[in-house]
Amino acid sequence: MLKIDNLSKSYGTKTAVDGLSLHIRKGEIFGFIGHNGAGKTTTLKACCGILKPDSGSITVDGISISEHPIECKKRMAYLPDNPDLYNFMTGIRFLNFVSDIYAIPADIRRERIDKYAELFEIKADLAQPISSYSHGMKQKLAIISALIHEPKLFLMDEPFVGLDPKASHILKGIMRDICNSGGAIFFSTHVLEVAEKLCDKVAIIKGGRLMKCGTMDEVRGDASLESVFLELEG
Amino acid sequence: MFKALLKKQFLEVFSFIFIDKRKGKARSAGEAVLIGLLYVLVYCMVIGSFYVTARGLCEPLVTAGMSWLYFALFAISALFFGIMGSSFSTYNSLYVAKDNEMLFSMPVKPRTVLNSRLVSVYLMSLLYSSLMFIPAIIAYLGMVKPGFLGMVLLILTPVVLAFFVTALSCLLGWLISLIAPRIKSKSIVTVIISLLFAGVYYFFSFRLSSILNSILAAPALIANALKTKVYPLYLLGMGASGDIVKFLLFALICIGSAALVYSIIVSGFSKSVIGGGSASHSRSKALYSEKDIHLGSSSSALFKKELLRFTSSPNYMMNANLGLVFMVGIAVLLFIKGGELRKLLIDADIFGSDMLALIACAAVCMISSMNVTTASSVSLEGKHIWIAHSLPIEPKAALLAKLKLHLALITPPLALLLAAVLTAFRFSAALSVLICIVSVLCVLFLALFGLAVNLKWANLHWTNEVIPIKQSLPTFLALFSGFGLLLLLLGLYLLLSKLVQPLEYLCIAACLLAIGCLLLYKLITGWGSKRFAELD
Repeated sequence: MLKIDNLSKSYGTKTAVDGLSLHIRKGEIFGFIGHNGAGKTTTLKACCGILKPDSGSITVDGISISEHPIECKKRMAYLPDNPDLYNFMTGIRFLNFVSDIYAIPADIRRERIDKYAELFEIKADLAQPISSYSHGMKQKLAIISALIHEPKLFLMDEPFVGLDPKASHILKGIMRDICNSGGAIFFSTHVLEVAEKLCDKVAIIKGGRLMKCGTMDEVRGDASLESVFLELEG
Repeated sequence: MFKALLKKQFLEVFSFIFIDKRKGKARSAGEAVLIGLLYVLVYCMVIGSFYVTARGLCEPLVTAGMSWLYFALFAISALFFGIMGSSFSTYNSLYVAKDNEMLFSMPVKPRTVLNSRLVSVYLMSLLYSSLMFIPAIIAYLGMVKPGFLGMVLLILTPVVLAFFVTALSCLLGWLISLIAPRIKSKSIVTVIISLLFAGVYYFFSFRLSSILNSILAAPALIANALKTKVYPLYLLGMGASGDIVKFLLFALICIGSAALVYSIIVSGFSKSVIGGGSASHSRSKALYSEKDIHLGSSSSALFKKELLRFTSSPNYMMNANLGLVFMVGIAVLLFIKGGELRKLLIDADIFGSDMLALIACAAVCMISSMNVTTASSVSLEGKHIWIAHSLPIEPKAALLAKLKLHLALITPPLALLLAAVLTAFRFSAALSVLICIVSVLCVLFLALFGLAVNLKWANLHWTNEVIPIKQSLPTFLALFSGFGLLLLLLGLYLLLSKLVQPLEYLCIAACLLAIGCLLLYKLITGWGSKRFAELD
């Protein structure tokens, strides 16, 4: 579903990602773990076409993001670590805006907005300006807007930050549903317990380089993910 | 405690001296001194401009023994300036200050927070009202040499008057805090109020000499009216002229009204702040219904987004599009007085009809060039740029939506202005068509140019939207591109004037502008699209 091949990206003299290669297959929840500044966000941004890599290639469903960005973006959704949404819109206007971009028919968008807004309990706030939303509500709205076109690939940067326990639980269920229906999830997290329970595969990145990658059992062996991570961090 | 709050308040008020908001960094001591001096210089220049008016009024009124009327007239202006300058900042600093919640979570009494804020409001009131009163005092001292007591009273008059200005500003700020949460389209209302203030200001500025002449023609009449109808102004004037009893009475009124307003707002202050705009919660909350689902195309969604961005920001509306107001104003003026102007110009036989058409066309282009919506539209994406980048949006479509907004905003006033020009001057059909074509092409060229320069020098990392809207290189370049373009076209006309007639020249200008538009369009859809996709 998502293939990252030898990806490198530098900011001035600082190398953020250095020759990273990963393969996220259909049906997989793939966790991306690393300390602050390890290169997780840069990788995720490059995968969804927000950042242009210095070298390497990224393909979504076999389509190159650099050559056919629009085709790739139609298949995926991105959730940033800090959901800076259009504060000058109401929640429902923002969902309409995203739906228009994906050309989602009225009845389908109505059905999906109702379904997810009820699930995340923000239906009553959809007519309010986004500027009045709390961080968690913005995160919920960003998740709904990402799910509205039923993406095959969902890229998420620290998706559980700011979400209440119930919303986190619901999101985990949705992530599993996407994978069960043939999609894939690639997400970064600091919460190792979440990664341990949720992910089919994990990759640990340090200083822009891949340190370890594989199924949960392959990565942690007999130890816990935390001890593996701390050992790798040195 | 109070001292610490006061110090914080002053640092906040004068932060523009110590912090470079464009870079988000502290200025060096040298830079801070330089910026401070620059502001003092500007303040002195404004005072100097009012001094001319003060001198004109001072001599006849003082000579006629009506010094009090002189001070009363300046007090009215000082009140106007003071309230205009500080009522909105009062609302912002008292009721919607970002640190209210933080301060209220500390062991600080709300009254102490309010008091520290009021001190800065008082100083702002003094600063604004002194703009009028300092030149009045200087002009007065040029004519009269008051004794020690007279001098003290003279200096104390603006100090005391500032209490009254503070009281009125606080009252207005308090009223705004009650009304603001209930207003739905705050941005539009802010723009309308700002335009009204500006309108009143320009009305009085333009009519200043006739107002002064009418005052000087019948000072006794005005003095009598003021004395009987606004007695405190008489007290102020007499106090400033050296009457201690009347001064004390005036001081009592000013300080008394300040105390009264203080007692009103102090009780509701913590409630309205902690209530988090309790009024907004008391307003029935709009609920989402199925009717809110609107289906539209991708391009209309992008255009609507641009329009919402525009209407949500009074700064964007006012600063990038003030030209629209001028366009409508001039069009209305031409519809009313156009006939007279035409008669004047044709009768005077200064220009032939063809030459007049050239000038009219240049004037329309010039006024239109004051609208620079596109010049900050890319930068205004700011931290939201990830949305445009992560959604399946062609960069070209996102850029064209910005262009469409500029054109959609300017088209109705441009049509009105062209209709007014053509009605007023009654050019031939050929000239009329060419004026319209050149004007439309000029508007399109400048919109494209604004977009191109903003793409080249885009700044997405601003902390305050005023920076890309008002203080950026693209806005500066876009504003002056109108002058540049007209200078170029004028230069070309001077070169060709012996070879071609104005009608033919308008054809040439139209062709050149069309080519320019095409080139800029190609640049934006090619290089510009790539640039937009790579902005970070």
